[in-house]
Amino acid sequence: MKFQINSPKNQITFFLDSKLYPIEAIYGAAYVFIDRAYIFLDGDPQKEIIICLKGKKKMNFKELEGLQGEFYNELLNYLLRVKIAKRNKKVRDFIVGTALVSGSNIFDSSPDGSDNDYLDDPLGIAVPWEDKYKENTAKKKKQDETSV
Amino acid sequence: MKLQFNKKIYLKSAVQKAMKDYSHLANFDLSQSKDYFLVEIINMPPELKDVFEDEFSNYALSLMKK
Repeated sequence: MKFQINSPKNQITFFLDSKLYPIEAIYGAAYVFIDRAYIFLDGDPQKEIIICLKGKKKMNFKELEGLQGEFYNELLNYLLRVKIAKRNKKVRDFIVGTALVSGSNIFDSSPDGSDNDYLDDPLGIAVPWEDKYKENTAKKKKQDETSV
Repeated sequence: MKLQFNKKIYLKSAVQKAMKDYSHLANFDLSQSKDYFLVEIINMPPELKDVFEDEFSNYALSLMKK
């Protein structure tokens, strides 16, 4: 890994092969470091990206090298995220699409085309409380009477 | 002082938004060369001189992720 350290400027510059590390992963990793370093990106996303990390607090040679190492680790993390996101894109789109379509049909007519009124109860769910618990309430009443 | 933002990496909209959001601190002038957006910072506050450009660059980069 080639890198250049400029101690007076408190910065380290290194190069990334864009074929290995897509620009989306670099953005992600850079964002994680935004509170610890000033980040400058240059180069060509089709060939090679130049990363320059400038420490916000004064760092020595080793610390700057460590910063670069951490950046690589974070880059790997984001690389995996980008790969998984690409791999699951179709499934994700399908799930979101299905959710949106089913959500938009709530107030439309039923899927079979018939215009069901909200008072219709094709599944027989809308049973009044009194009818549903008729037996239970009758038993309770009897129990109450006997206990008194 | 002119800052350079690579056109292939930074979106113009992100640079412009950064300029807008920092406009209460300094004046900016945006121009462009073949490969770079060039941001000239005018009337930079002297007390922020050491960090202003760096913070501005970081902010522009952070806007790229949104």
